[in-house]
This record gives sequence, structure tokens and C-alpha cells, in this order.
Amino acid sequence: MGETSGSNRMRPKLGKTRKKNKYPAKKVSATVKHDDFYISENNRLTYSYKLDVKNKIAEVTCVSLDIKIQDEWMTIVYYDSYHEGQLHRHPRISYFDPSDAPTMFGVKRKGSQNKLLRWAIKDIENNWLVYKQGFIKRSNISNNNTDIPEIELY
Amino acid sequence: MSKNTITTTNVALSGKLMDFLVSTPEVSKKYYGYSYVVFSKDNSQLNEVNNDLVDDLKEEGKKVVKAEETNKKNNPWEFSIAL
Repeated sequence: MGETSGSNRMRPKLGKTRKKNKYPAKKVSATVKHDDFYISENNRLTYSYKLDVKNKIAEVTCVSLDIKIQDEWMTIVYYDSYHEGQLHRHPRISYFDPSDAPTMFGVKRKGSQNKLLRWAIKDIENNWLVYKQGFIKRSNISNNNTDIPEIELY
Repeated sequence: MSKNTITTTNVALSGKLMDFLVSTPEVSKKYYGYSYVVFSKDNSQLNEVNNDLVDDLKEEGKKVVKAEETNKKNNPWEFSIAL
């Protein structure tokens, strides 16, 4: 998740009609910042980002909502801006299925990487319960034959 | 169609797909670990944006599955691996 090689990120796409992002990803240094915030005992917000050579945020590596299930942390939704500085949301399908359903809709598109980072953090702060409830609901639906561990809401 | 309407449609469609996937383990098992991108049966604007998203995700190195909404009740989604 959020792994980057950075080798061909800015390669132009032939035949594309999408407008060029006003805030393209910039050359980054090796500096990566990472922080965790505990929303409650079983829920945490994690974010990491890369800094450019001028110490400005160049890329949102990951802003995620992690939940604790039986002493193990699992990421159930995360944001990244790997592509051309555009933010994507990646919600996990369920406890049993690590696949995701990425989207750009309902996600802030314009702004500097700093603004996108703040927006993603704010979104998870405001909506973590909605994301978690959706994840639990989907995990229970898929739990036809297997026992799902108990998931504490708070 | 307004941006707001497209966004609402996409959120609803993604929710519909995720509900389908968790209730049909044979499908989710087949595409275990993939990223699903939804395509509407009647919203070309949404499909255009999501087509770009597929390219982005592929460049990121992710395995991507296109999930296309159908009119069939017994087969509401068609899946194809984005190559």
C-alpha cells in the first residue's frame, strides 16, 4: 500500500485528454514523514508523506484508517496521491477480501499536496465511523461460513 | 449531469458493487487482491473518469478489474481484467 518507485510517474500519457494537474507531483527527496493518531483504543489514523528538496509536501504517500481486530491492525480505507498529485480513496472490500474499490469521486482534486493531505486527514476524522460501519456490515455479509472476529466499534 | 450527481451515482454504484462482491465469494475469490473500478450502464461521464482511473492504477502497478454494470438481474456485473 502506498509503495512508490517514482521511476516513471511523470511519463506523459499518449492520447489522453485529461487536463494537466495544476499541482503536479514534484521531485521528492528521500524524506518521508509518518505519524499515527489514536482516535480511540481500536481506531487510529495514520499518515505519511514525502517532502521535496525544499521541504514542502511533494506527495501524500498514505492517509489511512486502521482498526484493531484481535490485536492486529488492519487498514480499511486509505488515500494516496501517487498519480500526478491526484488524490484517490481506496476502501477495502471486507475483512476476508483485501481487494479495494478505488475512486476519485467525492475526493478533493484541486490544491497543493499540503491541502490534499489536510483534506484527507479531515475526511477520515469526520467520517471514520461511517467507513468502519460500512466495513463491518460488508464483512458480516461475507461471513456466511466463517467466523469473523469480534470488531469493537470504538 | 452535474458533478454532484455523478459523484452520488459513483458512490452508490461502488456500494452496490461491494455488496455484490461480499455476497458472491466465488467472484471475490477469483479477483482476490485486485482493485475494482466501476462502470455504469448509462453514465458515460462517470465511465470516462473511471477509465482514466484504471490507467492510473495500472501505472501504479496494481492489478485492476473493470466491473461493468449490466441490466441482467441474475448477472448484474460483468468483470474483465484491465490489461
